[in-house]
Amino acid sequence: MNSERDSVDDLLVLARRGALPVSEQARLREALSTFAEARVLHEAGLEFDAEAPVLAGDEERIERMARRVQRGRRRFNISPRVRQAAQSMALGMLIAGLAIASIELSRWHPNAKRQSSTQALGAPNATQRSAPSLAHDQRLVPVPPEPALTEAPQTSSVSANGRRIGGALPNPAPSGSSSGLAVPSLTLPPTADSTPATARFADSPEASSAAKFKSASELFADANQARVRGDAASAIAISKQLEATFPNSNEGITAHLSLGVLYLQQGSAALALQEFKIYRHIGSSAVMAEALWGEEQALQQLGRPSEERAVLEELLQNYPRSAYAAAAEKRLAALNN
Amino acid sequence: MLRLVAGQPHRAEPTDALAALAKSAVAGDRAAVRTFLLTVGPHLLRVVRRVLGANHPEVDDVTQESAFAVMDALPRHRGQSSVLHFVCRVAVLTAMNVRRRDAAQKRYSRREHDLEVELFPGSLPAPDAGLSAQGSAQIVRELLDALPLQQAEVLALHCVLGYTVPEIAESVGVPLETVRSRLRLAKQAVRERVLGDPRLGKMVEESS
Repeated sequence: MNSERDSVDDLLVLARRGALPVSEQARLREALSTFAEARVLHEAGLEFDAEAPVLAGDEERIERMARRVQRGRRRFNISPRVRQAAQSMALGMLIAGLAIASIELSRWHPNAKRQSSTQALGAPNATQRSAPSLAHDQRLVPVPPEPALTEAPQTSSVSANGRRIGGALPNPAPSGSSSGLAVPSLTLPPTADSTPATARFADSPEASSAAKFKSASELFADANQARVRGDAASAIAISKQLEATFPNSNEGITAHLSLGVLYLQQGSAALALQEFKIYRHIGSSAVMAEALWGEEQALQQLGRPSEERAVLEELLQNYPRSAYAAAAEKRLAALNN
Repeated sequence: MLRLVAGQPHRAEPTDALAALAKSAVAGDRAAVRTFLLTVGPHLLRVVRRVLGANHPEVDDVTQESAFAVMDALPRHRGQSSVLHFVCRVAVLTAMNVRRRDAAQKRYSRREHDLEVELFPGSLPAPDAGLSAQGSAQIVRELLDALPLQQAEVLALHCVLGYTVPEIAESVGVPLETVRSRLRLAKQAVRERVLGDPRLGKMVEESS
C-alpha cells in the first residue's frame, strides 16, 4: 500500500509540469480517486502553480532588494513585541532627557547666573544681605578644603602644604640663641592658598553671622587661615567662637591649644597659661607634650620658675622622646643652675 | 527576465546555468553579484509568495532576508544540486521560519490571555473558518507550520515548488528513501487533517 502511495508522488509532479506520459495518466486518475491526501496535494499544487508568478512592481522590488543586499543593509525582522518594547524604552529615555534638560535650563536662568557672578566678584551689594541662607553661604564663601578630623587636632608639625599650623609650638632644635626655646612662630606670611575672597569675607561684618552656619571643621580651618595670613585677632575670635559653639568637638578642644599659642604671640601669657591648662585636662595625649611646652613658655614669661620646673620635669618624665625633650632638659639645667 | 519564471521554471531551465555566475559572485565580483541577484530575485519572490501567501505583509522583507541568506550560504554550495534549487531551498526555509515564528507568537499570545471568546460555544462558524477551508494550498501552508521541520521542508519542496523525489534528495542532500519516508509522514498528516475535518473531507469528495 505504501509503495502505491509513494509511486504517486512523482506522477503528481509530472502532471503539474505537463510531462506525464499518456500511459501513466490512468494510473494517476486511479490514485487520485483512491487516496484523499493525493487529491489534496494535487489540488494544492495546481493552486500554487496558478498563482500569478509576476505582480506589478516586481522589477522594482527585485532591483531594490539587489541594491540593499549589495550595500549590506540587512532589514531585520523584529517581532512586534520587541519593537513595542524598544519604542517604550525610547519614549522613556526621551522623557527622562527632557526632564534633565529642563532642570539644566532652570539652572542656567539669567538671574541666577548674574547673582552668582556678582557674589564671586565680591560686589558691594553682596555684603548688604541681611540674613544669608545656608545655600548663599556655600556660594559666597569659598571655604578651603576641610581638614580631616583625625589629623586636625594633631597638627603639631606640618600641614598639607608643608606649613606649620594650629597649635604648633617652638622649633625644639635651636640654632642661634642659647635657649633655642623661642615662642612658636605663627607669623607666617600670607600664602597663595589663602584666597582673597576668603580674606575679604573674614573682614566683612558677615563673618560672625555666616559663622553661625559653619561646622566645627570649617571654623577650625578659618581660624588657621586667619593665623596663617597674620590676622591673629581674627584667629583668636574664630577660635573662641569655636570653643564656645563646639566645646566637645575635637576642633573645639584643639582650639585651646591654638588659642594658647596665639595668646603667647600676643604677649598675653596669663591667658595662654589658662588655655594650656584647660587643654591638659581635656586634650588628647598625642599632642600633650606641646601643651606642656606651651605651659612652660607661659610660666617662663610670667616669671614663675618653680612651676616651670615642675612642668619641665613632667614633660621629660612622661614624654622623654618628644621633640621638646632636649630643649626641656637644657632649660631645666639652666633653672637648676 | 521575469518572463523566465512566468511559465514553469523547472522544465525549461538547465540545472547549472547559474553555476558560473554564482562562482563569480562568491569570488566578490560586484557585477556578478548584481546579475546573480537580479536573476534569482524573481524565483525568491515566487517561492516566498507561495509559502507565505501572496498577500502576506512581510513578503518583501522575507524575500530580502532570503537574498541575504542565499549570499551567506552560497560559498558553502558544493554543487550537489543546481544553484537554482539551492536558492529556492534557502528561500523555502527562510519563509517557513517566518511562518513558524508567527505561529509561535500566536500560541504565546493565546497563553497570555487565557480567557478567550473561543472558550464559549457558539452556533455560528468562526469568521476565518471559511477562509481556512477555502483551498488545499492553505491546508498545506498550515501544515508547514505544524509539521516537524524536516517533514515540512520535504512537503514544501514537493507540493509548493513541485520537485520530484530525486530532486528533493538532491537539494536536501539525503538518500531517496529518507525523502520518501519524510514525505510519507507528511502525507499522513495531510490525510489525518482531511479526515479530521468533515468540511475538508466533503470538499475533497466534491472535487473528485
